[in-house]
Amino acid sequence: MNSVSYRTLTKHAVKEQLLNNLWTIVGVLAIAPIIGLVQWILGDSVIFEINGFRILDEIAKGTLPAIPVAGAAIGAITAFAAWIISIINAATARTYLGAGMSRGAIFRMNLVVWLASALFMALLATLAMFGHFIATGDFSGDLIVTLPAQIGAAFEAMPGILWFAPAIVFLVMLYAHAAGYFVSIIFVRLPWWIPVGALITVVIAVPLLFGVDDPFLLWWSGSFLKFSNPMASFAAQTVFDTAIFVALSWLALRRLPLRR
Amino acid sequence: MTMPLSIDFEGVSFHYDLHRQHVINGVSASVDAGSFTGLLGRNGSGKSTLSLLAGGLLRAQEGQVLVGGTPVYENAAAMAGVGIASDAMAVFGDEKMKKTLALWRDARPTWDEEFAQQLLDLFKLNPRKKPDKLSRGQRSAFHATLGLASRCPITIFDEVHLGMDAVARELFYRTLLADYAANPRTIIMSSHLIEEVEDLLDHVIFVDGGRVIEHGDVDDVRERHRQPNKLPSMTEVLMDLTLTPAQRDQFLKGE
Repeated sequence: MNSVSYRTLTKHAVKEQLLNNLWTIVGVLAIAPIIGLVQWILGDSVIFEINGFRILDEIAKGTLPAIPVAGAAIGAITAFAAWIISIINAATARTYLGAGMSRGAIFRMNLVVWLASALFMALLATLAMFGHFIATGDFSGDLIVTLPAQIGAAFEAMPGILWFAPAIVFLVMLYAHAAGYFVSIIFVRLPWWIPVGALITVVIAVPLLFGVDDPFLLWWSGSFLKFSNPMASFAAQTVFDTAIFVALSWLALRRLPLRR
Repeated sequence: MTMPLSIDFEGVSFHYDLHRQHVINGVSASVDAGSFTGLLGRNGSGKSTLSLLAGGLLRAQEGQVLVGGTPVYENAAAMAGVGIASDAMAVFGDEKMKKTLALWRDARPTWDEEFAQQLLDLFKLNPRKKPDKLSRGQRSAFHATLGLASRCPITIFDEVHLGMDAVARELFYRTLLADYAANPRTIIMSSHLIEEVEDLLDHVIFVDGGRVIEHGDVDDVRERHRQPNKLPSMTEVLMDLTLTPAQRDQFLKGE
């Protein structure tokens, strides 16, 4: 029996994902000046009286540092796009299975794509980080931002946080891919009423048992993965959740039938 | 060069998730390497399920399915060697056909790109179109193209030609036969248009109620079901195997 290699297929999948990331970034960069222009024309008109757009104003005035804020916005949107793309990828798992790929090969290919996507974005974050350092002449990595009162409460970021930007981007991208794939593959694997029933049970039962409004907030705020360093807590929680999504996704995929 | 492989079902039973009733019941049968086998049965008899089990696309709860002597389930090399083309197969429905073609090209070690192009031309298919936008017959032709061009050691056509018009079906049969002669491999064909395919077959497996009720060389099977004045067609063998005694008296012996 011929051995089989999915190197070409994986290469194509990685290339497609990196292009998706790139196009998302280009799209955001293309749209941002348009929004800024419209904001400038309309001033404080009601339709743009929302906090997100005011940030552009603040960047223009020099109140907010352009690269970190724009980088955070672009990173968040790219992570959201990665989440959507992983949902679509999981939805087409049967197409890959029907083409003769084993479930293990499909999952391995996805893991490689997620890692490549996260590394690519981390690399861009590194470039943006050094761009900011060079532009400001400040290599401390500190980001102390006090947002205008109308935008929201002021916050203080931890000292040297910008040095962690590539790691944060890497973890968030992996999380987005894994979470998107998990959300979708359980609906591919199981009849819709099982995941929906489980979700409703969690939403109803957890508040009753623990006296909280939002069980998902409880998961994040009450996690046992707490350290004195907030960055360590964030990293531990993100890695832990990503690992859970990956494990559950594999459990769903490993017995995926072509039809049920 | 494609090396034909055999399939062995060893005491295979299967039921779908959340359904207790088995749709395949203790099937033990073999498909010889290099044979052209018909998988015949009535609606709901278990033909498609058996095909999917042979490709490792379903997991048998009991028994095992061997391809070329090795278990097929989650065996990457074995799974890549079994191509299943059916009238309702999983493709990228809302993406251009060329995306599914590229996937099959990269996932099937025996894929023949030149042959795929010839088939697209033969069936007048534009790979820039999306499968969801095709007519049923065009979609069937696209699925048949995937099955033929993959040149897998085992290729299963599960009612793939049902949506095609008479001309397209004839083109499909002729192309399949010519390519089978030039590139011998194991072919399994499941069809309700038995008269159209029975001359292609050298072996046959009849399935009913999830069980194999008859199998073997086509001539031997015909001989076993011989009627007083003639050798039966495969349709008549299927009727003989699946009708009640009263129905047999009315529809077969009364002829």
